[in-house]
Amino acid sequence: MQVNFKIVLFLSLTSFLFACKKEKPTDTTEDNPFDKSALLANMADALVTPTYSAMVQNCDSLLIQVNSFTAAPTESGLITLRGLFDRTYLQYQSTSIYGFGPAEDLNVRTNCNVFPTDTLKINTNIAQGSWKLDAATNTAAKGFPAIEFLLYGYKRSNSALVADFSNTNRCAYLVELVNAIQQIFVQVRATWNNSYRTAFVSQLGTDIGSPIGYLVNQLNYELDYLKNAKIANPVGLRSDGIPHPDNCEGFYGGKSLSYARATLDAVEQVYSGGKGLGFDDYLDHLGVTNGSDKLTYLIASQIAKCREKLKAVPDPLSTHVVSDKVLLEAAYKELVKLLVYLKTDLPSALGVVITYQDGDGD
Amino acid sequence: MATVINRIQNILQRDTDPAPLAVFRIAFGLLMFVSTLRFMLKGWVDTMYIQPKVFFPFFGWDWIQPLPGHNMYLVFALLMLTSLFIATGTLYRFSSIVFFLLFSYVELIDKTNYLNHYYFISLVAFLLIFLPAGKIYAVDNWFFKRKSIHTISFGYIFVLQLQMFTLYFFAGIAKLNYDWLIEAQPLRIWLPPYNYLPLIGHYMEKTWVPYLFAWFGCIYDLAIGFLLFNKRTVRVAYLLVIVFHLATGLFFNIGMFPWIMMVITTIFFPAPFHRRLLNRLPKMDFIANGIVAKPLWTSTISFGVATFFLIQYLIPFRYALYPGKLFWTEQGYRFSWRVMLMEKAGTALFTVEDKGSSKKSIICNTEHLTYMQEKMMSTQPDMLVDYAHYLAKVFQNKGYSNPIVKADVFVTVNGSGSKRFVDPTINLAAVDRRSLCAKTWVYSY
Repeated sequence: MQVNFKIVLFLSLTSFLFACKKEKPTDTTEDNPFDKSALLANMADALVTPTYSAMVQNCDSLLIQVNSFTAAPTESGLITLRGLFDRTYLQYQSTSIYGFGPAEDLNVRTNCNVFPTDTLKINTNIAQGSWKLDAATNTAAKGFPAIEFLLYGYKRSNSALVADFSNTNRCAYLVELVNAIQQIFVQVRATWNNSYRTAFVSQLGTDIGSPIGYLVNQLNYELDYLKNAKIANPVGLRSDGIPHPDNCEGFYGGKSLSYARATLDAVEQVYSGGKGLGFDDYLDHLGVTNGSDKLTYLIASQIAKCREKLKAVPDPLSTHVVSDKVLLEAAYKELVKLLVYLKTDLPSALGVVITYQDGDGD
Repeated sequence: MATVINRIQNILQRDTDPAPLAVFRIAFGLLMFVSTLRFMLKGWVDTMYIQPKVFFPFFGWDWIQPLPGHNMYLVFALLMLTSLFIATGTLYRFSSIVFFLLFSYVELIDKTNYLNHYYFISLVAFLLIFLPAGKIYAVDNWFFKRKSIHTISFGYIFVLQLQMFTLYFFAGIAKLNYDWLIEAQPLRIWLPPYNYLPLIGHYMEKTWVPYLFAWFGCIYDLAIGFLLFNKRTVRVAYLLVIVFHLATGLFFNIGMFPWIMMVITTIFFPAPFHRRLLNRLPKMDFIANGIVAKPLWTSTISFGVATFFLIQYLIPFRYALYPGKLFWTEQGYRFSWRVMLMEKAGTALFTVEDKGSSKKSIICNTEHLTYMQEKMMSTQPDMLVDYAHYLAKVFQNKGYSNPIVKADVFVTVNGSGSKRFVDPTINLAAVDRRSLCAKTWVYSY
């Protein structure tokens, strides 16, 4: 009896408090709920599918040129081929960020961009005249870095490189490398167009395995990869301060930093949704702040800072890792700050869960 | 005072039908069986206890290690077996001891995986060891050729009820804080993502909705135990239990917990309910006649129970001994029924330097930790220290004679926005792991 009375008292007291609470100034979320399916549709139609189409087109022309070059290797043919290759590798930098779903099923990242490439293994494969690209031992002997090594060589003249291609095994290896990449992207694009897009825009949760969870996850993965693999590793920030120029992405072609900047652009694309609805709109809709600033303002200015710092050092990165260490370290630091926003503030504000484990919120 | 204690003692000694205890035992055993099976099928034995290169043991439990190779599967297999033995009342005392020890062992391996729900299971399993739950409707009765007991002291049922009451009530007390009641955090972050749900989705972004959830949740937790204890309100209370746990199960990623609670809350129902349930099951009284000794409820038992619960009631308040905001420092956070109170995330960037040489390396956490470990480590000071000690060891092996481990950590809690969490200049590897002192190097909130 006593207990009941207390409960009634407590309930009425608290409901009184609750009634008062409603007077509190509200945030900006009162109007229409944020349209996540529009965000996802924009991602799919304005970003993902055009990107994969561009990737396939690049691969197609690269394949054609590879075939004609290997049929009759010439120096001018090599120069044309390199041009197409560079364009395709650059296109890949804006594509890998969509590494979930169909791309993950086909292991795009491990099939396309493991660097530094294993030149010894590549040469052994060619010398032996037989190889299985799918074998685990060939993980670092395929993809763009391997193609790049074949097309650019290391401290080797163009005429000598062209002469190398009189070896039919070498030609066959190159063709197969390009072919493998082309087929992967043809398949990924087909899956997106046939079925994945529909599923993608209709799952509106924010837990693991949801498209929004994927996008946030990939955003962070790609940025983390940029700061670690593309900057910190070659500069030696992760290895006692000893630089490793040969660990640069695009070591043989010498376009490492333009690739790094393209990765940053891709991160920005996914974050902002390009010209359409993106995470910045979602954050603004929810009125997310950090300190006295809007989070979107902080992220946008941090992206600008990162871009500026990445521009401060010229390519090829491999010859600047020692001389421009200070500048590169500064770029790394700005990337870290951006990562904090994208890995901590953004998922936490959107309630994105990136784990399969049970939780109780602590 | 003495009369109060006597009256309580009288109530606890009152004879009652032991059916609720049997139903509880069967339900608990089966639920544990399903939970363990689910845990294994999800591949978590591998991801939590086999794959990790390093584990984060609880304070004072450093000696607890996972078994090597795939032997952890054996532990889980034994958990499943003993759950079934508990459910059927087979070698009950022995099975419940083994279950309690193994379950607690698994939970103590890595605080990354700490859940209040697991703590609760450990406590219930501990209580079950001492309850005469294996003496009614049990295979043991057949095995030992003895008759089911037909009366027990109410105390044996009451301890389980009190354990459930404790969970709810303390979860309610934990909600009496500024973030939960005044800011409606973290629900204000967690609910809007459900704006796509049919019917209710439209309301999920409304400001009043998280307040409603928060206040209902708080009042529910504080009141539900009393409502369940009271015979006149127990029906309504159970309805609330169902609504509450279905809602939390729908919105939050909390696994089996809602189902476990919905089932075992029936311990509050009057005994005839359980008796009817048992009557529907196949008959298990194998001996019609014979004398059975009724398990006594002595004042020693009362004293033991009082101590057990008193400790549980003191532990949640240890945080008061530490300065700073609890959600930020998490000093004295665990084992306190603080559930769903924080949306906390962080990024921790570790650097190891060699004192005396120019060697310096930035750490890639994913090379050392699982995703979940990194997530938890990045926001919990004691785990930052544990990880720093581990890194120091790794780099000693790599030839750093005197590794200094520093961390620049940024944390956001309940929508605060990320802020620097700890002093980035101090050597975390030199921080004593075996100290319960306040961590003064954690920045104030």
